[in-house]
Amino acid sequence: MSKNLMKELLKHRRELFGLIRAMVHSSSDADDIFQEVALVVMEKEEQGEEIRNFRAWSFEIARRKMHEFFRREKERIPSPEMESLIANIYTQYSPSDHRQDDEREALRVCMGKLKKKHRDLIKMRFVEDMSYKDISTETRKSGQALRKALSRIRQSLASCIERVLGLSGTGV
Amino acid sequence: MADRSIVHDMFAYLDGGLSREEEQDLAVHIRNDDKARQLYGRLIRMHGNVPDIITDIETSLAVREAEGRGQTVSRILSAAVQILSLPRAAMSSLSGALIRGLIVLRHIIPSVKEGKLDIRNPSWWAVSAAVHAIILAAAGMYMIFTAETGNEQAVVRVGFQTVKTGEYARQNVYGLRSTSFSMPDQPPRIMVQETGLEDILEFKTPEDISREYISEVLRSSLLGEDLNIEDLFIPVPRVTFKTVFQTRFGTGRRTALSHYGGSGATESAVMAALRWFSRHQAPDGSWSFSEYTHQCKKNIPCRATGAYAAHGGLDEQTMTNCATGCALLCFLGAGQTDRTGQFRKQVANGIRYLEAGRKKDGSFAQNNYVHAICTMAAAEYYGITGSSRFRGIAQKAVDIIIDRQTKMGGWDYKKPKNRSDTSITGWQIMALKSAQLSGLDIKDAFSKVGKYMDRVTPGLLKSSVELVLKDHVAYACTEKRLDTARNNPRLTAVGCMVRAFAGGDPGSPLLRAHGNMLLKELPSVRKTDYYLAYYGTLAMFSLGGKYWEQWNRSIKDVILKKQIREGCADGSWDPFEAGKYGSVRAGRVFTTAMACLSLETYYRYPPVSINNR
Repeated sequence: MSKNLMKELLKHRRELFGLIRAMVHSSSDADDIFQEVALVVMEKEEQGEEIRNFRAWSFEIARRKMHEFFRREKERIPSPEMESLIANIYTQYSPSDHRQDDEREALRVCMGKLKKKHRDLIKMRFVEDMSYKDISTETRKSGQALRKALSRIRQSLASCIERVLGLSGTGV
Repeated sequence: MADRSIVHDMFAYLDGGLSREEEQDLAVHIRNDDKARQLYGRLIRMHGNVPDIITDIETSLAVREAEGRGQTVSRILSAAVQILSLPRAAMSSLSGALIRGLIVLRHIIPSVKEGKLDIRNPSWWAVSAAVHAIILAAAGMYMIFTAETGNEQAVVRVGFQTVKTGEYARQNVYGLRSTSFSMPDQPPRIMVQETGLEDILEFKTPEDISREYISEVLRSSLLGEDLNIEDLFIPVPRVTFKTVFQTRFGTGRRTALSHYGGSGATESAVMAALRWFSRHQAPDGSWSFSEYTHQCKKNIPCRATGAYAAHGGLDEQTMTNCATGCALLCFLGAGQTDRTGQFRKQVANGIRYLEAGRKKDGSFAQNNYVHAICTMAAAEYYGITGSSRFRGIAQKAVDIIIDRQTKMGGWDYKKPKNRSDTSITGWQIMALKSAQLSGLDIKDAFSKVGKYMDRVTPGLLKSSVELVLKDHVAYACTEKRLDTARNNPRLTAVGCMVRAFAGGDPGSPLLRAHGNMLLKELPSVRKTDYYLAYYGTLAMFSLGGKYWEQWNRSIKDVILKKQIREGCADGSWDPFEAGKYGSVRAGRVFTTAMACLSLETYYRYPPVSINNR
């Protein structure tokens, strides 16, 4: 029984990380919070706790850890509406694992098609958490142009994923 | 059909760029629209997947590039081999042509000089033939030559291991005289072994330990059956410091943690301790041994049992510097800096205080204990962040430590007199080790300290064989009172740590005798000596093997059990009764620092670098 919590977390780790990232708007902060969540899960597992609804349970842990983080960093907490929306997406409307694997593969394909300079922009903003200001100093682009470029790259990624997944009716 | 402006707002929210009202509106809107909700979910997952996938793509691109370069080298190589394997006759006719051409030229040059050369003169054709022969021969030589130099320079980065194709190639070129030579189809890949961590940690330069290499290990461990702690974490590239303290961060830390016997429980104890420190930091960024209770905010304040009975003759500023140094060491040890982690503000303020608290001569205190602790923090801060301002500060402090070393090789409480103190020497060596790892200049301090350590081990002077056989290594407090060398495990731990840090071989009989003696002094819950725990942990960690295994098992158990879990003291450790050795004087702050640093040992130092002079 005790292996299950860890296994479950391992299975959901990307998804959970994604929603934490969405709410704290930063990959490295999300990573820190995710670590804390993982520690709690490990402890609970050591205590042999049994959890019926892992998604709901893990979301609650993540939510608390996020709120601790917001308090600590004096960041604005997300609105309850947004929080419950994201909770719903994770607990009720999440696609199957299989489907999520497809999504990830699609992202890999689409990201591979990006030009290097565009991939670098994405990397600076979403992996290294650089601010728009820092990126614009580094790339010598104006802040405005940068926002536009990043928004366009993300849109093209999103629509590329839809095309690869055969969802192109939605159109982004 | 998702509306363009909604998509725009979704991106804006994920960037943190929406006001609270806009955020609410967006959430309500998405909730009521199935398609939008699906899209939003996809976008959230996409943003979450980006770090992983970018790392993947860049890794595979790097490998492909390396393979490409490998092929170029192989083409040059086969050209070289073909030339080398030309029939001997052809080779000799090439060089023959070269020589003959030169002879003809030499014959003709005088007539050119004398202006006798005429186009109708048949000797012009000889010139032409000679020049062509020379060019042909030179081209042949050139090809051989470039092929060889090409090999030697070509360094192909394959996977994460640098393979010098030059050596590869040279062996083959000289060892094999057939025309069918080519590079292997697949560039050699270094497989991660079962005990992969030694490979990771045994790096020559900080750059060698790249996070890609570690994530490769992670990925391969994900394929295995057993779940490890590190399996749970997504490798997210973040602000990375190219530092020898790489094991304190992210993936390196998790790998080290699980490899050296840490656990989720030890990590949450460390985090709780750091939170306790951050709650008890004074507004000016400092920590105080005596006045930390002023910061207690919760209903049940920290019990100040046994806290801070006396000054030990030190002034308030010195003690505050010391406490600040201790707390900063705990944060830095866990990879928490002013640029990474969850305690950025606390570390930034603490570092600022440390810097401002220096004396005019650049020292942190007259007292050598305090100066060493603060120097260690400054050196580690420099080593991790590479801050150029701190390079100067830390180097100055290190110079002062070296300046205060006695002729005998040890250190005393204050400026060198003609006596040294074993326990103080221990702190200097720890500070110098951090300085050395950070790339600061520590001169020959380590070789000098060996002499002092031998001096205060009277047993060693009598008969080292006896000492090793009996597993009893006793150190004296000072070389002036060798009679104090009795059964004092704390000093044995100091001695072992100093010898190991200063380059002693952990496999040597002498150090193993230290280890055997300490194994008889395993920490106990009933009477915990945190000072011994900290020194002993460093000593046993550097000995490794069974010593570390047994010691770690009991130290982990004891320290975790004794951590306070409630009230304002949550995360700290109660001061322990241990006579006059620092802790009673220093109370809760010092005890907590010692316990917390002991639990950080798994990743504070890369173990191979400890014995590396």
